[in-house]
Amino acid sequence: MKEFSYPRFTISLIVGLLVTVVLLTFLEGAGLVGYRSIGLIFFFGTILLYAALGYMTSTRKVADYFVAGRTVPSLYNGMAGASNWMSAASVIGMSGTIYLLGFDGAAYLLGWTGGYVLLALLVAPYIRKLKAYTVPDFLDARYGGRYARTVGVICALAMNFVYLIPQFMGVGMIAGRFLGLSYQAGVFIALVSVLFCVYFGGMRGVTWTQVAQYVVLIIAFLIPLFGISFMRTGNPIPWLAWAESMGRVAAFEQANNITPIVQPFARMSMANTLGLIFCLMVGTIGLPHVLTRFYTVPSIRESRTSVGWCLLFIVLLYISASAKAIFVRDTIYTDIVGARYDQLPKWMRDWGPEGMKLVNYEDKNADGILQFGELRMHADMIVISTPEIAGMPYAVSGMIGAGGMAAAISTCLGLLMVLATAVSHDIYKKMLRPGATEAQVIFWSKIIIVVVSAISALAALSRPAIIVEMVAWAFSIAAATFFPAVVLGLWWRRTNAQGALSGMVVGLVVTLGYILMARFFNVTTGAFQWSGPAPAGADAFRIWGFIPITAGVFGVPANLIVTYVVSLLTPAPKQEIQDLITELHFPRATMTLGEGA
Amino acid sequence: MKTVRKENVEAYMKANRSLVFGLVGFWVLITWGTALVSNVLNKIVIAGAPLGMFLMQQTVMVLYVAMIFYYAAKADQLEKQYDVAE
Repeated sequence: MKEFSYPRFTISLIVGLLVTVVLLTFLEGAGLVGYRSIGLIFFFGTILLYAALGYMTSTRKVADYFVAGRTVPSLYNGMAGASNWMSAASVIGMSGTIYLLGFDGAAYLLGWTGGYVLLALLVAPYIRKLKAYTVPDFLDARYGGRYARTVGVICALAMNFVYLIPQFMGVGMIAGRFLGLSYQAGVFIALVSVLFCVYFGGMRGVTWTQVAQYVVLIIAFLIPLFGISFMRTGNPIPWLAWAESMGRVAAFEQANNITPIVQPFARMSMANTLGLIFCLMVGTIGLPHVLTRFYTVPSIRESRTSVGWCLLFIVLLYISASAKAIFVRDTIYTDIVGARYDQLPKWMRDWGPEGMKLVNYEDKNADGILQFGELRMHADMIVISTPEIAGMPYAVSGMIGAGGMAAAISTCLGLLMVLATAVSHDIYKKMLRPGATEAQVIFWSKIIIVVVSAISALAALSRPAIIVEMVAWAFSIAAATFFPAVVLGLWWRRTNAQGALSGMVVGLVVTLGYILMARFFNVTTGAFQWSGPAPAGADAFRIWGFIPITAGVFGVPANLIVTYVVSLLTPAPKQEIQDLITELHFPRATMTLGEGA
Repeated sequence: MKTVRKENVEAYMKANRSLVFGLVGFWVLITWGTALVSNVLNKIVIAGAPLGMFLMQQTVMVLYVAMIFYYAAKADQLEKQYDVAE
């Protein structure tokens, strides 16, 4: 694909999207296309684009397949990393979380961004120097032998699998809402389009596809934000206009005795907010599909800037998400609360009890006027309804569906690549058949992708609510297993295999144990409650009030202490391992120690 | 093949380590430090936005990005200074 260049590709994609929106708006105005066709055009148009990209950049070489031949420039690798990281939960759900949690929602904003700082400072350049494909590769090289690799592969597989299922659930939901399809049909479409993209490409194909997906999702998110910002404040730059809306929101809350949304720790306790930030940040490093992205850059230097670009593109969406939440709240307070029920705006009725059921309002005191207490909004509603709130054409709403799809599919791609790598490379090539050819490895990875995605899609069909919770737990588990093994392994030479392995096991047991107790154990009855909602209030098991998603608060220190103590009680690692660590800290390719230059 | 001077090894590792751990300290401070005192910071209102909210939901994230690029630039400089670049 010589005639393609990354900048030209990105700019033409942006222009193409904007032209499509304008064109569809005119066609809609002329009565030539309806809402449903607009949804279909965006949905299938973007999926075809991703599949075509995967096809055009397909590859047969193993290094190309898994790590894109290590040739992706850091800026574009950053874009790919950003869409790899952000799932439908970030793009569709984050604004809603901030809307509901107010200040305390910062736990998610900071938790899902701050980990990249640790990644850039402590991990990425050194892992890149090792030229490993995966975390298990690192564990093998650093702690020597199959035990470390096996433990690593099992953890990576479990985390990825848990993470993959809600991605399929997200696509099913989005397809249902924007195409008027059933949820099950949506999951099936997700499965087919994901397989389409991976089957033709591999990481190299995935990189191009993920760049395109970032462009789609950020445009779909920003255009409605500019619209609502302009509508609320007359200023289309949301990150500046945000403060003005915030002022109105604060004044309204004071006048109406509503707990201010800016009040810290009002909706989540201080311990849980701070603990959640910690678990999500530290867990970021442990998630295998994040690390893998930084093996694809050409040099160690670029691995550092690549993390920077990646975070920049993530932060662009997150600071916009928190602004969007405030603009919607401003709209609700200013235009909706106090309005007469028979004069509610059209978007409110469309999304209300008689329409999509994402907003619930009921005239409880029968005065014909909507009071704040009579309104309940579903979190997903914030992002989906913004274009209509801002009075923008339907084509913009249609694009949001494509944005959510882009986010979910790109995360699926990243996760599947790691799963396929873990099984075909870590287990098949390194453990079962060391003499396997490149073609065999790629063949097996394709089989695994088909099998794993089919199983995940099947699991997603019944919409298991527990899976969404499991994603939050996955961060704590990643934090309590991989983080100490990787970071101590790189920075503390004395860490040995015995220490790291027992640390991982203890971290896993403590974290899982706390999750089990805090989520399922009923203190009053003294028994586990496996089905139904979690025990609450006096029934719930808590240590210092920490909720199950912050279990890493116990698991991470437990792992660190055990790794430290066991490492000191057992012999130091072999000299060649200690030399390897020194070597990793030096960027130059082959380091030989010399007395003079 | 270029070699690395032995005396540069320890010096470079020390310089790199103090850079990295200094930044990690700053990272801890702006994250949990800001969160802990946000009640107080919120009393300061800038153009309608309380400072604590403004930092936690906008500024700190931008600082994270700036930190990484600062580190990338500093690390390049260190590598050149100690002659250990790729």
